[in-house]
Amino acid sequence: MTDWQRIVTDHGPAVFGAAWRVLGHAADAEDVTQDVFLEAFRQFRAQPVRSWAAFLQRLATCRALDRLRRRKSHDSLTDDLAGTNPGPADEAAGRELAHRLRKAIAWLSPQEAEVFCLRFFEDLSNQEIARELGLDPGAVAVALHKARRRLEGLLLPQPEGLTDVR
Amino acid sequence: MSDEFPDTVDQAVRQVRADAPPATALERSLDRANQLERTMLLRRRFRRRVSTLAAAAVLLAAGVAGWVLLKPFDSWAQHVQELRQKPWIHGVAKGPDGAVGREFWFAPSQSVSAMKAGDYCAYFDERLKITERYDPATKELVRGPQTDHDRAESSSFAAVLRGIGKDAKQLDSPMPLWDVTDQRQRTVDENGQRWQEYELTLVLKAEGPPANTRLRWTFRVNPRNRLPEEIRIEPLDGQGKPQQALTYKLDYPAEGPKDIYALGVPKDVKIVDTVPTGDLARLVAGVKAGRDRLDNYRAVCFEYPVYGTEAERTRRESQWWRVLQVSQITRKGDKIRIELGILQYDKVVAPAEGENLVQWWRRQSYLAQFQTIFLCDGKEVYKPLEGPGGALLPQLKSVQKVMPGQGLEMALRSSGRQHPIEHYAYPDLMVPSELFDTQVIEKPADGPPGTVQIDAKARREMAGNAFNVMKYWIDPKRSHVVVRSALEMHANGQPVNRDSWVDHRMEQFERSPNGVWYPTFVRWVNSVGVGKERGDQCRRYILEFPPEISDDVFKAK
Repeated sequence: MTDWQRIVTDHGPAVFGAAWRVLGHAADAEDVTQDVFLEAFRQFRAQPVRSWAAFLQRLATCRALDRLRRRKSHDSLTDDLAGTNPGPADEAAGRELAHRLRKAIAWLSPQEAEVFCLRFFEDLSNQEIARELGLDPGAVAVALHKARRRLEGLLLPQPEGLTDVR
Repeated sequence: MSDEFPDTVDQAVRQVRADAPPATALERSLDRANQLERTMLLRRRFRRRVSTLAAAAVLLAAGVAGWVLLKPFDSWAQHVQELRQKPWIHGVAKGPDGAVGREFWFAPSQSVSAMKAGDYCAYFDERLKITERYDPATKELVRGPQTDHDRAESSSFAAVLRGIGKDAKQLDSPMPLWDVTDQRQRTVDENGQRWQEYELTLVLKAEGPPANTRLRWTFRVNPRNRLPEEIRIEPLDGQGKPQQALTYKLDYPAEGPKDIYALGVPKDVKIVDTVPTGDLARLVAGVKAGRDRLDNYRAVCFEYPVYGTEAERTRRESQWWRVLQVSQITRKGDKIRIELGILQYDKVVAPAEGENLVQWWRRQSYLAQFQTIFLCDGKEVYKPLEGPGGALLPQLKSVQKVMPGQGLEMALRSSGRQHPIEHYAYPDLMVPSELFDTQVIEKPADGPPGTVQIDAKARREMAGNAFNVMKYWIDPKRSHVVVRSALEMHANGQPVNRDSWVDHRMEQFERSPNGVWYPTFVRWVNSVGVGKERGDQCRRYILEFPPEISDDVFKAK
């Protein structure tokens, strides 16, 4: 097994998982994973990486968020739910909620979105996030707070048929 | 985490984390990632071998082999397909300081283009045959008829892009007044990517001594999708040496500037209008342009009669929201869905004085249940299936395919045509036509002030279901919106009287985010009731303009 294959084997699932959690869409997650590894391969050839895990995790989250924001230009916040699979009511409601959260994340500022995803999807601590993003832990906490407040507003329950909310 | 977040966000995060990634998609991703190393290694070996072979054969072999090795994944092929369907071409040239120096936008299918250099802007609308130029020095927006030169510029550039798209052996000049004196094509490898370049040397046409004003245009084209990604323009000195280049980087956005105001021209700028208003063709084009340019919207329409005594009319007007039936129209370009809904009006909470009606309707909309009566997804028209007794069913069937851009037109011809606002504000005027004698009245004695009237009379009596007289009062200064229309139709042999007229008056207007005027109140005068009870059928529209409307809204589920 080459060094590159080891990197893919060790970190591939985490990269895909990070993309999947942000996007919730298999084809998009595959695309993002492909882009991340292409970028990573260039890095692999160019210079050593301190921590492949941290590097790939952050890159996957960022690229997935980029994709989510591009997708935002075609979706609004409250429609596009009729296509979700019917199933048991609890499952459908849970899936809908996850779907709404992803869409709401697309409306956060890039920094807030990245901080939120690294903290609550990837389980990084505030200190780890601060180190990866070059921020101080206080700024990370502020970004998380702002993200929370905004998501609260965006995820408020709406009557059926309600149009876009920001 | 649950201590930090209210329940909803907490639940949503838990759901996201609990949703396991699909295993097959993960395997595919890892497989491709592993192939990267092998692919990149083979490319390097292939290039070394290529450099020792004859040029013509190498280019062909490299093209084929490179394509095999860099075989695009499904999502890339889809991306290429998407690029081809982007309606706008956008170019940005930056100055030495990195700031944007010049920009241009070009939409061949819409026949509009725009340019911006600093605060100076110009907008060329070939459909309206109007050119607008904003001069920041005088702070004036000058509107004038399109010149032949303007038209020639647009068609020349479009012709070059078409030539590139077809991989033409030779290109025409991209600019009128300039001749092509030399052109070359070459393949360039740069930073691991292959480009095709078209280089044109141009000379300014001049009579008398040979002209010395020369330019070099180089189009750098992505061979995978045949789309130019860069245009480099270099003045040449007397010896043919290039001077400082202006390089435009191109992209292909779905949206572009809808008018000159979108380029940053202040909306309250002084307008110097040199466009003659009495031109029928220009008026017709103006109305059509308003119809095309109206922003994507969601609209709800409350339709109600107003008749009877003064007190009864006042009451009906004040309770416009207490209607059993509402219609909902969603439009995105030429995609449109028209729905009729039954409203539980007894549960509707009346809007407060001065309340934002868009927000008010958001809170009430759950009280309406809608049924689609017309849908166009940009490619096909769908109508509902019919059940026993002609009842409309929720399921839709495809009834017709349409060409791009025809969706709204089909909607305005359908049985649901009276619902979209365009039917009143930007209708198909049906003139000029050989069936009608048409004149333009610049300052009509009747009709709303500031309007120009189109007056069309049928040359012979029309069939019972066609109009004999059509009058439109159009406001050229407000997006050419129709402020009033009066159409006369009577059965053959029957007299023309007040009841023969379909008289729509648009009484209140607002402006969309892109500056297109639209009515929020339409009154069909003298259309309901009998005798003293005769009155008007009124429509009150509430439009909102969401920044994004999903294409899923237009799926025939």
